[in-house]
Amino acid sequence: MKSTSVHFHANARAALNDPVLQDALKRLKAGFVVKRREALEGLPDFPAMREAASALKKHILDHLDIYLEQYEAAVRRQGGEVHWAEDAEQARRIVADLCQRQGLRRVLKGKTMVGEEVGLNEELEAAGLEVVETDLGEYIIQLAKEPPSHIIAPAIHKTRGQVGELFSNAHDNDMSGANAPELVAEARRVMRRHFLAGEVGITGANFLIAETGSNIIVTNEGNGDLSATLPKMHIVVAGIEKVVPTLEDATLLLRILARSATGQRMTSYTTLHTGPKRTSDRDGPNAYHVVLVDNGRSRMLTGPYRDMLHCIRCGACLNHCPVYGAIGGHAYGWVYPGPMGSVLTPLITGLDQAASLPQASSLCGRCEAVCPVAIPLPRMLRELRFDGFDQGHVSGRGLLRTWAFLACRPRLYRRISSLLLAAARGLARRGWLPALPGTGAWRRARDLPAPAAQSFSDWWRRRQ
Amino acid sequence: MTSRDRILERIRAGAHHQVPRPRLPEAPAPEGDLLELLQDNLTLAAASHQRCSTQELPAAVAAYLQRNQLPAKLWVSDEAGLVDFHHPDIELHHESPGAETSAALTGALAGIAETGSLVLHSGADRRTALNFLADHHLVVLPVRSVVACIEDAWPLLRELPDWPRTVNIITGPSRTADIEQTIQMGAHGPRSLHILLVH
Repeated sequence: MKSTSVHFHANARAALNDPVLQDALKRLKAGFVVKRREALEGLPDFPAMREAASALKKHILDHLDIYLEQYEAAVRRQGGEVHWAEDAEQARRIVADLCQRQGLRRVLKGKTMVGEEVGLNEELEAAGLEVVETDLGEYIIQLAKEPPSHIIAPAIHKTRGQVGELFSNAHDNDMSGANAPELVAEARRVMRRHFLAGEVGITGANFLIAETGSNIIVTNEGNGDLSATLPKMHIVVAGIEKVVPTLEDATLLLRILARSATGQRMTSYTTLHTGPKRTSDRDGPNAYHVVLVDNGRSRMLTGPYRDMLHCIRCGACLNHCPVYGAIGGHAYGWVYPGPMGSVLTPLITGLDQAASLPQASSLCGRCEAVCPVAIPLPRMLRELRFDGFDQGHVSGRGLLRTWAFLACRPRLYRRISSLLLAAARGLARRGWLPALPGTGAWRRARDLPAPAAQSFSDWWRRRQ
Repeated sequence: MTSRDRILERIRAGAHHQVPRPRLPEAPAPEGDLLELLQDNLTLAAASHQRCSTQELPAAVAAYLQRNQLPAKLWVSDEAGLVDFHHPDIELHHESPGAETSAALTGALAGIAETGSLVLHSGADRRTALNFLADHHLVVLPVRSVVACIEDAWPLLRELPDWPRTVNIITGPSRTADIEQTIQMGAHGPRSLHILLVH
């Protein structure tokens, strides 16, 4: 998907002035935030589990080559195939080729964030395939032709009324004014036809198990399972950082994932898929392919952003972020929003495309506090700000340069600053400086006190 | 050099094989009666349950269909324990389920007390589609198959003659909160999940 992160400022302004979006965002707190807190109250060992999960991820990343090779061998043993994609384009090509080579046209998609990341749908549709998003949230945004606005609740920005309109237009069935149960029933009815006709199922993976060669998907609707079971071919798209050594390791991460994401102890469906159907099996796909996507991840292993590969995509940092809560996901301009997105987006799409994102944080630290794998997100956001400055992507750089130039020349500095102070005193009204034109949004909500009648240097000089 | 080689080479620049494998936290050891805990957690997961004997099973299933005003039709799994399932008033189906499948009856390898989950797997005598296409999914679970926690399910699967293509850990009916964050049951999978705890 093409990034519009460069337009973050304009996007954010539009989001703040969108009453429908603001209404939708209000539900975030009562939903995810409260449910997560309640779920963790029932898990007294959470801090210890979080530490163990973080230590486990550190161990895995330090042995990533070994576990990926183990995983690949296990998938092959079970009759599956593993494909390696260095970047988004290669990942898209591999998936499209797999479908086209078999002459399979009707594609069912389970929810996959890495699929969004590499822009899978555009490629498949351009190749003449019929792609149906089967997760309800993803289906809604597919109809709306929008990217997801949340990594686990892609249509969180849509109201019931908007969903009703989208369904009315797409289904020849008037759904305007329908309530939530009616809309869910309508989606179920329409999707059934697709499920029974699907030829390829594409899902993501929450975990890849090196021991067994399985992928695990953690879902609530059952659409991922139907997509992986009914069609002739199952394709799994997963980032290389998803591998874990054993089922016991995955269990630790499972315990913290659903609680951090939706506040559930377990989602409705935790499913392991391993290879294609066995010869004697009554159902399941005949072919099983895994596409391991790098797309910048291996590069992140060296350098200060390595811990970002711990991320298990629970969405807790989005739900607790005051900035995400104010502007929603679309303003971030790409597929990953919120604090994790503000780190990932510049790292994957390039800092020149997304230099504003690391700035869009108050560094309040809630994201790190709620992260179930203890990713130091605020430290990384700061680090990215430094990188952005070094690479010349930060506005105000010229101003800082000018200041540095003057600060190195004290006499010139004093002369210019006394002129500026005199001008400021002239503009002051009742001890405060009015918002001056050109000082931007930052000053609109802040008052500056007028400078004192005498500067400290002048006062000091006179005392001597 | 292939893409695989290049990716692994880049990974090796950052993977130094030094960070030790941490000890995993102990699996939870629930206190008290596991069957009771399972029942409580099934309810929390919005699944219904009842206890019955093997002899009472067909009548319990028939009563469930009637209670929920479902057609007297049942898509039944062919696995051991259900292969002889029979009730005079119920029309049994052994073919693939479809859009018209109102109720399905399957077994389960284990029930997990910690989470109120059921462990099912694919095989030569069963269909995974039954677990997802039916409106009502009825699961027969022998009470001796109740285990304490998720970790206890893995050895049971490793003991199977072949690792199955699909393992479903099912915790309550299908649900979605994709419309205005309100939870609705029956998104794409079963609207209702009913467990028959057989002793």
